[in-house]
Amino acid sequence: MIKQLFFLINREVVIGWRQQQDVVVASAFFLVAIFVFAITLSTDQLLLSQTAIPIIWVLLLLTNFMPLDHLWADDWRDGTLEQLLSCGITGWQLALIKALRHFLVMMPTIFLATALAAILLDMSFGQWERVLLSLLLSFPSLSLLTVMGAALTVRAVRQQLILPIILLPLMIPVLLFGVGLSYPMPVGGGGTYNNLMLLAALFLFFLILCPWVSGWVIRQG
Amino acid sequence: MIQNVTRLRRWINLVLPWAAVLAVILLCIGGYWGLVLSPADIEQGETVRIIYIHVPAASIGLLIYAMIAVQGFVFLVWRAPVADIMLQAALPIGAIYTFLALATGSLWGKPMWGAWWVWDARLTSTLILFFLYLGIMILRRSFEDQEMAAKSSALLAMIGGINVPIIKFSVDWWFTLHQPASILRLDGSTIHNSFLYPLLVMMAAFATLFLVLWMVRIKTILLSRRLDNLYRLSHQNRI
Repeated sequence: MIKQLFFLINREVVIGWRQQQDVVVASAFFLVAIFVFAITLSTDQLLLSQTAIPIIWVLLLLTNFMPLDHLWADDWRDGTLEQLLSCGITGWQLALIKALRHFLVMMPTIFLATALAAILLDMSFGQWERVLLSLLLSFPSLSLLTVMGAALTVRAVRQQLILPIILLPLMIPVLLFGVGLSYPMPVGGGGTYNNLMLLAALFLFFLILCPWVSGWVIRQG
Repeated sequence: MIQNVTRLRRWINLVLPWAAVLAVILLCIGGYWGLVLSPADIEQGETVRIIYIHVPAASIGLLIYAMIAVQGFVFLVWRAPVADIMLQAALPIGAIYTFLALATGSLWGKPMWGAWWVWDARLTSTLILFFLYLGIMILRRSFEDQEMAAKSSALLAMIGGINVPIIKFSVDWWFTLHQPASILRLDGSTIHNSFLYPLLVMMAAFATLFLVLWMVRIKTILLSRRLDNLYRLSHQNRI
């Protein structure tokens, strides 16, 4: 059983690694979008460095939805999914592994993108560190949610268009606390410690909920 | 299933006319009482009258969502097609109620707070509720397979139902500008009776209005499904 799971994890990681295009395309999108921000906002260095955190968060959330069509849809279309499920792999195990893969694909994107943003938007090293950490802490929950959304919409007609509308409202709690961590002095509510604890609580909650739901959905039909 | 649906239809035919009459009467009473008879507020003046639309729309809109989540659960667990029909029928009504609450709230906010919209906790969570409604409706339409559409939207309604308290709680961590709950409180209501009574009548009116619209929509959906079935049958026979 454990061997099987390791094989599956290996498979997902290999597939994720071979689709380096995803990371490249996502980072390129990020770069172009930052360019547009600089044009529309202002080229004033101070203003840009002050708005860097929201820009990074918004763009990363949008890139989060980009590598999704490979996540379940490929396996579903070529029949791998059915085979795996009939081999005794349960839906939630598969969902958990997919979430891990999505996180692993997003991680290099996050590194690359925030580093680029830090240079282009004139962020200090400390600022960059903070943003990177907060992103790495919030993305596990976001990956779990994303995988769930992708599972829900595998058979839908316009998956790419519907997903943000469905998922972003559900992501809001994670966003509030995650973005709060990006700032030295969190906006509203509690301090850094509170935000960390709440993020951890949300992660545990989604860790239970999301794989279970996505596993159930993927087994239907 | 057919039995349940037949019973549902018979029940609706029985109740609908009475509920419609009751809704009209309650709306007339509540409207006249709230908009004409009840006094203007000392601080807010005549603008206070907007609560007679705003508060019922908001609370009934939230209530409808809770009901939808329960129906999603019932549909998924007991595979009751009736629950799916009821869910599908309630969705747009709930969305419109929530939208009405947002729109009237922003009309009130302009003279009172000086802005159409502020990012306050309660406004934000109501907006998210509206997004959830939209998401479920859009998800429902984006499947070719009706069975799958029903299952997915029921599931999303349920997840949203679990998430709504979390969203609300997390959003409340922001500062709050909206007035705290004033009607349902342990130490009694904090608003004066001359405002409270017409408000309660309007709440009853909005609830009854929802029931009427809901029943009409359920009837329509049942008919359209029957039409689909007949069409499919006639097609099969021809082949």
